[in-house]
Amino acid sequence: MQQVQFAIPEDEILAPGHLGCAGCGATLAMRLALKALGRQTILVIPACCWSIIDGMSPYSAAGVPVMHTPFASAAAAASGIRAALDLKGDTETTVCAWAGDGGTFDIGIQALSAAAERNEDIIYICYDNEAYMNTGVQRSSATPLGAWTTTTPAAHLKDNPKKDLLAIMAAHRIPYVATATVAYPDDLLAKVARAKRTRGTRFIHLLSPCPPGWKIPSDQSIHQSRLAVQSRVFPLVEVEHGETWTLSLDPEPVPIEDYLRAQGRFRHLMDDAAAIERVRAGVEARWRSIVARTQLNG
Amino acid sequence: MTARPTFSVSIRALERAPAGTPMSVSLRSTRDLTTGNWRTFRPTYVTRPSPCNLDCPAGTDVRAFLSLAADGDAVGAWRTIREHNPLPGVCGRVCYHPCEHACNRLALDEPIAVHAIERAIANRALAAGATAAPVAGAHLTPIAVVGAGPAGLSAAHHLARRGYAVTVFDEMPEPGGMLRYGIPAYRLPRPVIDAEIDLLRAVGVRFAGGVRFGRDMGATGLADYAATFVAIGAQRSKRSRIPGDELAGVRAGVDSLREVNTAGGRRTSGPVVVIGGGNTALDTARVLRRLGAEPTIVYRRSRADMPAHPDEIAQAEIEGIAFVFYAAPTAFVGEDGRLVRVEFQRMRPGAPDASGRPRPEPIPGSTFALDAGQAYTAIGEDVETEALADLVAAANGRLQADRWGRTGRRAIFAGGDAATGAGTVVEAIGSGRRAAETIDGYLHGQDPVETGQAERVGQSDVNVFYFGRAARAHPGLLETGAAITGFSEVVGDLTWAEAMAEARRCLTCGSCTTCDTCLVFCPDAAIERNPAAGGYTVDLAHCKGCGICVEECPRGAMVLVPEEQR
Repeated sequence: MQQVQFAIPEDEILAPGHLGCAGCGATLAMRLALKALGRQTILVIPACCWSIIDGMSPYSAAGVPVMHTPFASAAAAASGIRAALDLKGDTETTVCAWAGDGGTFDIGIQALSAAAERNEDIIYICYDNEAYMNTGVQRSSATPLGAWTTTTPAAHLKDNPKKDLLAIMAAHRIPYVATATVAYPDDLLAKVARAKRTRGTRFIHLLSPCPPGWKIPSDQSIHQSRLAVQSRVFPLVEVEHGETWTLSLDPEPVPIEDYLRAQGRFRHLMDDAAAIERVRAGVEARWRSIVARTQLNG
Repeated sequence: MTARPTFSVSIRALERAPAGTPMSVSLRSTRDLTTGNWRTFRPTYVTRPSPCNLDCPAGTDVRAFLSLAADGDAVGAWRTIREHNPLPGVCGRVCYHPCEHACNRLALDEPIAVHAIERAIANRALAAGATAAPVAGAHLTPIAVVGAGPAGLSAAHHLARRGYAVTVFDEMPEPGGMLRYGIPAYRLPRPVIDAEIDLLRAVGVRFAGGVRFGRDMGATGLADYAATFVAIGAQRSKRSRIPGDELAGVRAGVDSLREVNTAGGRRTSGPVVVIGGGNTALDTARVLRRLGAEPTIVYRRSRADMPAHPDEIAQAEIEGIAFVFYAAPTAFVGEDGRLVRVEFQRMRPGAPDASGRPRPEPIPGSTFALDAGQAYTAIGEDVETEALADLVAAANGRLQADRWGRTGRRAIFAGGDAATGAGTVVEAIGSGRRAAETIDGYLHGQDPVETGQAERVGQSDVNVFYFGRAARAHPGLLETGAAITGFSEVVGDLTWAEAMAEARRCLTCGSCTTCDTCLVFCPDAAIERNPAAGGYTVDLAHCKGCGICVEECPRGAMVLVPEEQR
């Protein structure tokens, strides 16, 4: 028989009973990331789905200390906790900001950019579900071109491409930037582990399918995460010091329609060939530019 | 779960903070929250039949023996096969392997080469000295089996394992039936048959050769037996009923095979015509090729319609056998009572017939002839039902028996080709096994029980993402020059290492292999290992029923079942 092999640590740090929706990609992302971060970790979570998922007072699911912060300040609060630990002489505890796409791409980007510019010794993980999901699916600057949200209804679909946060963070020339997603757990854990070993600001962009927001059945989260990579919508890469780009996976490509078709938020695109072509052109152009950057490596 | 979450340094420090510290701290784990009550569907581990298991007419647990072979356990795999089929060495060579036709690996690349693995298992187990499991209990109740072909051998095996004293009668001196007297040695070497029949002798089966029912023994000779299983096969070639079929040089293919397989073949030469498209036609032509002739197979339908296995057809072509399709013989023409040529009518595909294939119809005015000193007809074989007239009723040229082998007459059961008309070794083996179970039930006053068939695991149930592509193993073929000058086996063996690698291509559809996929992808951390029983348990207090584990299971070994209304 052919065995599927995973190298996933046994220690379950995330507790069950959390308030994530059934099939939540962001919750699985946390469960897997904690396995690589370990128990000696402090999480800093701004307003986002995860401030709900972790549980209402007096409950917490994370299994490690969590500091809830205002929307804009995850990176700043993490920087402060790092400084306090350093003052106490604790260099072992990992400080990890864990924020959604709203708190990263939009509201938190100033604090994030400032922390990265100072090369604060923190990990910042953006679990990206591509809209403000816990408030009821409003568009963010991470929402992809053509997607439905309540603020980009079918009559006024999102007409702008997703902000290229990977390039923005790479441009800060911080030691480590990577993308990951839940369908590739070994890759995800390896990247979080590498971030943990690295000093300075480390940023991971973690695509996390959202069944209610993407309008997919709860059992499709992993499948859609996998299709995002296979269709080149979400390339898996690592960037060192903003300069050395590496593709983690060069998948056998699947048509982008396979990714769009199964998601209710893209359903209206399926009878609009020009719109699909525009989505495809954007995805292909970005893929080509990433591949080109991997080939520039000295 | 064993390890409860422990809180890290800074939280403990907060607990020691003076009362009134202005910060809210949550110190209880959400483990106390029973989110399982959100659930409307419950994931459940199941074992469901794989296509190979359902499609094997002998009922072999293919999935199980492939798993054992993948782990290198040849003897365990061999014993697993023999739970249903006493002839793995034979079937590894001559079975047309229906187990491979719907293999879910087709969603990814090519089916598992089950037959080649089965053959390698038989080779290795016998080389390792594997023996038949000893039979529990004494051999008391005598049972007669008439016909020592695959159906009779299978029935004898399953009856002997249940403790019966089985005697197998056959007209021919040695047991094996069509395996020995029909199939040529280049497809099925005789030592392979002998070794597997010896294992039947080892569990007490007696063979009485040279006994033809209706000539050397009659119904009264069966009085001493508690039950009789009749499996005489289909031995008599159908007459072509074409003018000139009495000429010298016109023969039945099955008769010439029997002659070559008993007395050895005589050298011959020149063009010969073989009429038919099944295994007998292929075997006859390839035997004649080995004896020096230049055979042409003429078939009235297309190549794709030939009942013979495509691999056999391809090997025949490599050996230099010519094929003419869409042609039907109209006359055998002789000079001085000897065949000199065969005349044919060209055909074309017409409307579909009962078999779903286009019925061949003549193209008016289109005829041709082939010069040939010999012609062999291989258009099917009939059951010699008249020999059993006072034992089993016949209809449409077959013995009348139900799926379980019951003839309607007390203590008399029938199966194999003679009753089913199926015409394959593996179906005969399955028929013999069912009859053995029926006879055992009959002697204990029980009727056979139809078990409903569980739903098979199909291509949409497996998640091929988790399996890499891997090329199917192809055994080597004997070099053609050597093949056509003798009766050495044409299709080669896989080495044991190759067979293990091929078995590891198996997806193990419908059976949990503890691959951890469900455990890894659960967003609720609600799947736990089950150290006591193996496998996993679902933490129903917390599982929200999202279904990711079921969707991602690589092999369709989980299902969602609706929760009852609360």
